[in-house]
Amino acid sequence: MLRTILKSPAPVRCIQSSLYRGAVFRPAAMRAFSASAIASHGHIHKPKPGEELHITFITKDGEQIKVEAAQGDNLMDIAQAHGLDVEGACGGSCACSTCHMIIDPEYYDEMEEPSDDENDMLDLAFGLTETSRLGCQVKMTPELDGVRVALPAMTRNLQAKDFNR
Amino acid sequence: MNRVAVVGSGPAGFYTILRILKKRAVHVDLFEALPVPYGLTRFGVAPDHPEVRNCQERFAEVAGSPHFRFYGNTTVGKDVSVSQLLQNYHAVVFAYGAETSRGLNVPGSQLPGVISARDFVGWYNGEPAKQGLKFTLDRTEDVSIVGNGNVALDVARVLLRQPDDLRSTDMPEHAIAALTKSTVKKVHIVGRRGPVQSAFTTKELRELLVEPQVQLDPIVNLTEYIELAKPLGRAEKRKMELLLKGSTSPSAQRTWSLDFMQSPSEFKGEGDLLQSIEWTINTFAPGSKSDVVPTEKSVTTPTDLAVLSIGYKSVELPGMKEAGMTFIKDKGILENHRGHVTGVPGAFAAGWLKTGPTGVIASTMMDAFSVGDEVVSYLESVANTKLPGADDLDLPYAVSWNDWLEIDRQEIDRGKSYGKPREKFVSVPDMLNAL
Repeated sequence: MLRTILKSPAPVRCIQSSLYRGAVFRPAAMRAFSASAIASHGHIHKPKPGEELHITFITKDGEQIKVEAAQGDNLMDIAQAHGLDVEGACGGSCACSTCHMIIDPEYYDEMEEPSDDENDMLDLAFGLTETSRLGCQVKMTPELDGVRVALPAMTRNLQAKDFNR
Repeated sequence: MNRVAVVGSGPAGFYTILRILKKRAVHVDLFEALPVPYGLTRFGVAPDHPEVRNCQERFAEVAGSPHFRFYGNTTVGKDVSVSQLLQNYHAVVFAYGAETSRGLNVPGSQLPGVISARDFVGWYNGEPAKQGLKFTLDRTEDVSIVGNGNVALDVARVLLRQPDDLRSTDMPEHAIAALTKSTVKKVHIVGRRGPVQSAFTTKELRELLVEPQVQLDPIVNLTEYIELAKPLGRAEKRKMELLLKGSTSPSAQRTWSLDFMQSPSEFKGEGDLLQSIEWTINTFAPGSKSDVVPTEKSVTTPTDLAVLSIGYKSVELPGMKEAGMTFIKDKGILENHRGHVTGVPGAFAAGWLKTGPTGVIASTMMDAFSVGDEVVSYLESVANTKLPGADDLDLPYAVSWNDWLEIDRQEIDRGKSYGKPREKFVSVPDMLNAL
């Protein structure tokens, strides 16, 4: 399903999907995008006027954060540039699973299949879902305008063995 | 402002600090026994996996905080005591990892032809304590690695790859020279359980399967093992599919095998080379697909060198017991509840000292974040009394963060003449002489 650039920012809807168990869609917690939220790291481009692509990140606390992004930038860099809690231990080189994100199923199908290398890393991600991706491997395209992306809870008291399977 | 001491500058230490500093304004002093930071990301991660070391950039960012100080070349338990740290800081996080290996108590395991993967990895990564070691690579054709985790696959890859391919990595010159003279033709990786239960990850397996001039022997009874273990999880399924496909290289200078359901029962050798290993054949224990028991059957295979890769192990620091901490020897961990060291308020364990030596950097990171959260909530509950931190410690030989940056600069500089990212200093005196 193609989406146009002109489409208004994604409406806040409640998704009845078990995939989103960890991320409650709570309109009350919505926060407007603000340019001042840009932190020191993450390497992103300023979108050209009229070509802004919209993303709604859903934090592990259920907060919705709407951002505008440029085509070609990846979800990890975008999230980090907006101060979101995404670590990216390997610096976006597809060598760890710390930028694991859960993609709105409606948009997941618009994306290319993850590569073998990405799947190898997703195998190690905690709380893997059917629409999981590594943020560093998903580049924004016009088709993804309006996508919602949930950041999985990071700080559960994990056992190392949770990662062995 | 609260003062926090962290012992050990690997991923567990740095990620704990990152988390604490993100949530609360505290002073953090990081104690590291070596003059150089980063622990196993410097001395454990394979040189041909530079992307895994990218986390060091983040650690350097953390170290740039005005509330952070580095005390390198400072051994806790020797240069400063555990009790002194507990007195001088509101919280102390022990994150010094697992510096020794699990041993194997079978006849012949003390022979010189039986080495630990930890030693070999430390040697090829320039770890100072491992630099005196000599390996018989120039007289060895057949290597058997006991254990099949990612460390085993790292060791196998280093032994199987063309040494020329390692020249562009930061593997120290002495190791590249020794590997260039290597006569190794065959590497066996032997696990006590089946392929589905193997501990290596798909990424590491894929890497070896696509390595040019290197071939994996077909695995005996692979489909039977898979049938027995069904249903498989996603990761297991992908790993087994890869094993079924096998190597992609059409020709081979070196070969390797994955052998399963065997545990070594005796090493036999003469001088510094082994001659053979006797293996007990295991069988799956009834009612359990993961656990195995030994049978009466055994098999003997000829081999020149055995590498034990059956796990790392933490050690207790002098003074821990006196401070009231319990080190659980068989698990190699400090007794703790969610990172709080049992019986000693304000003392925390993080990383492999807390969880045991398993998992990748990502799992250590998440666990360190959870310990960081525990430290922060603990600090919120304690009185903010004035404590001296490192101010009254006598540490004349401590290496500062700026000192490390100078060592770092010189290592990168030395690397340039070899066309590699860095040529490490491999002894503590060399590191200190750089200053």
